[in-house]
Amino acid sequence: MHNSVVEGIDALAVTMLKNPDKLIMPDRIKDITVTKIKLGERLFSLAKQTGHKHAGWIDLAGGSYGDIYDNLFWYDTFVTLSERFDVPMSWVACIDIFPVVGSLGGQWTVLHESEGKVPKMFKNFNIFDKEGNCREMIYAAHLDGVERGLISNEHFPFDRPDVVKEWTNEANNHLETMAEVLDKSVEEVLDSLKKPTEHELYTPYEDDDSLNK
Amino acid sequence: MEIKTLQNNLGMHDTQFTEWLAEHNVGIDEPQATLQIRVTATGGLDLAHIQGFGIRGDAGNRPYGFADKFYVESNLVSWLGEREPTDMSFASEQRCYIRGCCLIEYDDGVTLQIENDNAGNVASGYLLALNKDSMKVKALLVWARENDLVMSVDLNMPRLPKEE
Repeated sequence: MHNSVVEGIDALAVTMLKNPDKLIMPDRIKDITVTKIKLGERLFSLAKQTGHKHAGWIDLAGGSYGDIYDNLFWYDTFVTLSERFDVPMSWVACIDIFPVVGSLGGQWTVLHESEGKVPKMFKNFNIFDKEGNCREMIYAAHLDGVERGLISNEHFPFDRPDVVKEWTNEANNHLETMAEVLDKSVEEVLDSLKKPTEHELYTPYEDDDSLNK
Repeated sequence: MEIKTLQNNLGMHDTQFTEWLAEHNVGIDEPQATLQIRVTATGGLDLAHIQGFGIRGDAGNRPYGFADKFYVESNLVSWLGEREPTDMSFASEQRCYIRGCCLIEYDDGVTLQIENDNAGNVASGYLLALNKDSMKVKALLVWARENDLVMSVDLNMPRLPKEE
């Protein structure tokens, strides 16, 4: 149990540093990433080989780090590490992690200050934006931490941007209205928004008992 | 919702709104509630995107009526993907929908029948049963009933022979 979300995330970063074996990428993620890196290299080479004749491939080849380590890469990273360290995904998302991928393998590295090996938290992932508001993922980590019983103090000490607060309040109002119209609880409505396990529209076959619901 | 409210929601003056009604093929003098289905749904695998234009009731979830994506069998996705879109989205300027969608309530369930010249799982298009356990289906039906888009029939629903 931690006193605050920042304390909890800091402790998680230390735990990660002490368990490098848990930071090795599964082959599934490594293979997809290697494939994308190799494709990027071929495309960049094509642009260089043809650039003296035309600029057709220049735009496409002008990819970046973010094309390889895209949002879905990071989502998969957070899913994988949250399961391995048994913490909410939002906690992993608040730690400054970077991937190291080669043909033979891949791993995640947690950034830390070179002197004293102290985790350098939030080096890229700053807690606050330029206006001094906290980033929303910190708030998500606080809520998730409280829900999982990882944080003792339920008070969130930072300010969130007004525009973001309005947005989530609006979404909450919409959800409550939906629940009222459908005569369901908010939890039931949220549950219905998950991908269903059964088709919602399907071919009606003879002798199909499920049709007599 | 009155037609004027819809016009206000869409932020259009009279001429623009008349053009919008004409372009979206819902009738100008007396706009008619209408269902349509997208030929290619986005946002996931095995999804069908249904839109409804209708101005009655308060169960709609869009300014023009109703829209949602439903998890469907992949054969329907393939069949829809081969159709030539005939109608425009109520939410954009894209022509990516087909019409002919009809909700029919039978004694033992509700179907969505898509009348089309191209055979799907039936010669006349595609026949689908609605999973009434789904909250999204329930929301569609509440809105569709408000807009007189559900026809009732005192029969059991048609069923297809089981596939081998």
